[in-house]
Amino acid sequence: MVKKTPTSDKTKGSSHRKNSKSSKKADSWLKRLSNWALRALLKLTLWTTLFATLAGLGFGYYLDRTITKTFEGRRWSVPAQVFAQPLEIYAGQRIKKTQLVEELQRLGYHSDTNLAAPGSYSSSGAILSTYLRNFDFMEGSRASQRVKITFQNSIINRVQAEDNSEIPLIRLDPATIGSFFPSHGEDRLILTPEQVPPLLAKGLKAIEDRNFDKHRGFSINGILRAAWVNIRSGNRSQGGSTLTQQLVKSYFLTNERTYERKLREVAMAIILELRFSKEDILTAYINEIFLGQNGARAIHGFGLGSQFYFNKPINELAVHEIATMISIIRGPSYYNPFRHPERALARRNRILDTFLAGGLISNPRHQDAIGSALSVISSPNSAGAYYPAFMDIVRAELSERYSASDLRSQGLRIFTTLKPREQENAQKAVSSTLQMIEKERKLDKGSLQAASVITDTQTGEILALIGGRKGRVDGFNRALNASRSVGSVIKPVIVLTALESGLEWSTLVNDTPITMTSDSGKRWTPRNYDGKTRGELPIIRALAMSLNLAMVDLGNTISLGEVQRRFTDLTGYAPKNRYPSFFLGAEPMSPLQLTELYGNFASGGFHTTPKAVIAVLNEQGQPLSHHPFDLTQSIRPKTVASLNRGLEIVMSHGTGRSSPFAKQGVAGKTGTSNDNRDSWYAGFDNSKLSVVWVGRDDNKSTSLTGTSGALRIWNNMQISGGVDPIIHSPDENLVEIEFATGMRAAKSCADVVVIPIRRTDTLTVKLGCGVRKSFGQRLRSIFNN
Amino acid sequence: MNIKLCISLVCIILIGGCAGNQGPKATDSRASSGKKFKSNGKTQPSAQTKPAKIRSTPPKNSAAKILLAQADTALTQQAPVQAIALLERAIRIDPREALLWIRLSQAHLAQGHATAASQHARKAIALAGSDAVRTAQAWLQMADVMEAQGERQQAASLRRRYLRFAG
Repeated sequence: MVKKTPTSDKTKGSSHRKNSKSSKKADSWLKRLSNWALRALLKLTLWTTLFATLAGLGFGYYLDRTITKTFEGRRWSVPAQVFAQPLEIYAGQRIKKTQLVEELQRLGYHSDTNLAAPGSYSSSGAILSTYLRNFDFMEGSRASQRVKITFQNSIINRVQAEDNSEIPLIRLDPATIGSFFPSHGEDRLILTPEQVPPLLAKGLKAIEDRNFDKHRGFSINGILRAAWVNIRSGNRSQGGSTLTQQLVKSYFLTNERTYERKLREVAMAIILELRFSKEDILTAYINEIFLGQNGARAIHGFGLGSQFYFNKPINELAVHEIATMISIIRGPSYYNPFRHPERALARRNRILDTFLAGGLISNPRHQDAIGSALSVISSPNSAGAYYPAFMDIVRAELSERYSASDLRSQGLRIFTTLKPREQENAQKAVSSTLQMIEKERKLDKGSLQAASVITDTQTGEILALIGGRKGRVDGFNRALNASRSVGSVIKPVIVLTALESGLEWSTLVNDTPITMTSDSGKRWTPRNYDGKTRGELPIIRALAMSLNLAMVDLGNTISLGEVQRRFTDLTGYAPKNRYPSFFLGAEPMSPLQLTELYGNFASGGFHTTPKAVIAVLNEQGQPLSHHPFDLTQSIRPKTVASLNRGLEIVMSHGTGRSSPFAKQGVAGKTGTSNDNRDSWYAGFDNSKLSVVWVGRDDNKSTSLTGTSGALRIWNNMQISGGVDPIIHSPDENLVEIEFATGMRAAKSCADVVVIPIRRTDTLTVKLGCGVRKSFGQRLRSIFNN
Repeated sequence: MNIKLCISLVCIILIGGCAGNQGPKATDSRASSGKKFKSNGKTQPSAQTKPAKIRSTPPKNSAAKILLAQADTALTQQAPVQAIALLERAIRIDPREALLWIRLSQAHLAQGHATAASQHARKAIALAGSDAVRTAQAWLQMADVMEAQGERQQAASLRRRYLRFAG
């Protein structure tokens, strides 16, 4: 406050004093104002600073929490790995040496006469030596070891260890057939710091971030250099990022190139460096970095990248392969070694030069690496074991027990029943046969589709599953989802019901025209495929020749309800079609459902739901779930043995007789739906049940029958391995009957089939065949006469 | 046919008699499954109804034989889950060997899974075919399952019927 002074008009120079007074007043007011402004400014600065500090701290805390949470979370977010069935190796195993070499190659083993490292093999004469990789099986770990396998006539004769001691049983490591990556598509195989090859770690630093070990997350020099380049070029092309910044960018930020984003990147990188060790950050980078795109699947990290580009684990990569992988980081699309091999090769060689200059590799190793080809596999998914159709059934089976999030992030290890050799063989047969058929019949290329399921006859485990003609492409899975009319492959259910009701294979049925009228007044007049009728004939002929009229007659004899009840027993679900057209297979089923039906026959009378998963282990190798064999007896042994004899006759005498394997002890049934829309074959030998479907996705006619379509595919599936003839029980009541009439006969006088007949005295004996009548028959003929 | 059957039955009786004390593994694992009955609150087979030892010819397949031996050890160590995994692996190698299915049934029974044990015993019976020893073994396993399920009379009846193949 300014002190008030007394004023007097009488004093000299009062005006001056007045002026001076007012001036003083103004001064003091200005002073007051400036003081107030100063104080206000001070306060404002203080408050602003306080707020800024608090906001900064809050933002810093937020960033810190986000980064820590994400970093920790991402470190352990591992997609489930799915493994095929490992190949068992033991003396007596029936496998050709070439087939075993193929198995090893599929696993990414390479030829090396010295067997210097795991993942190699050497073949000479009758001996195949291999250095097996270590693997954590369900029952425990198997260390890497050298094994000598001796062959004799396509059979393994001996299996020996390095010290020539006998190995009674050993397995190859199983193929990795896929993983359950999240919906955003990121797939990865996590590596621990110990699994990272030293050259990869050093090489990454040398190429991407020379001062990685010294800086605190960002490099001023790098940023200034990048800024200088950007200013000169007029755009923001240079990043100047450290490995830490690259990791931050991959975790949290977009590819947007702005200075604001750059600042956030730097802040986050500093926090990351404060929070975690250099080793943690480098390992995270190695597991995180984007290395390519394969359809919906994004290849992240060097663990998966190594498998994707070279089909082998990271620890088996050669110097030039590590350099190739590092070269991809800069531009996974631009330096894609599949699409731009020359570009990738040039960059790889520059990287190798840097390795040499930095003292990471010696001169001879550099020379050797420079002289090496890129050596990536021929194309994505062309090597190894990538089977998306099979993965669908694994996913479906596991969805009952595990959440999608568990499968995508918990690092589960899933062991399955798939046999890659079966899968490859079946896929090859499907693709080549369809091509052949289209060419022969002048059909549009690619117009036909097919699906197939192959299971073990005794366990019901799925050995192979083909979802379409292109095996390594994700897409509509016809084996699981194409529900199509099955045609005549349903007929064995009618015959089974008939046999169980006491009828014999020789029982006569009428192959004559029939018209049936439903309750709604709708008339149904079935016809035979060739339009002919054949009158009375035995059930075996009706089934073998797939005669529609005779089968409808038989179905009517035992009733639709009975047949459908049996169908439900054998499949676990009620049929959709409640009309007699069901007898002729007007019932939509998927190849997998048909496999379940035929599994009852192939297994010798046991129902089992085809399954794909053996066990699920957690990331630490502890078992989470075991999926045991699950079977239920569904048909009496003698009845199913009899039915299977009939199905063998279908092959030897009926619609399957054109197959080169028809008379080698296989059982099966062909099927064709109306207007030749669907071509089916379901059949089995001693060890494998196969179901094959051929058709068109638009459901138009294919002009194929079961024999000319699906059976041909099955034939081609058997060429490489042959068939394993069905083993019969010796206590079947086998009788020779004439195929055409069902009369008891002998080979010498008739076309006979050998089939179980329970009551032989019911048989009519063919005259002039030299077959003696039983006492009962003689007695009956006396009374009849 | 009948003559052949008679001869084979005589041979089986003779062989079974000679080999009555030669099947420690089968006996051990059977005893193991018996212990498990108790632990699962099921009835343990009485001394009178408990089957005699039967000669256990090993599987022909060398790999299956090894896995069976390991599974037997697991069963005696009361580790049925491990035994099941080993037996399933053996069955993948040699799926038609009835003895493997019999042991699998024992392992499931030891784990308290009577329904699975019953079905696997049925599978063994179906696969045993004309091998009378295997058939007897499979039916005796079925008797164990039935006993565990409380069907003591049927179990005793099965044992009476098939014990004659043992020594």
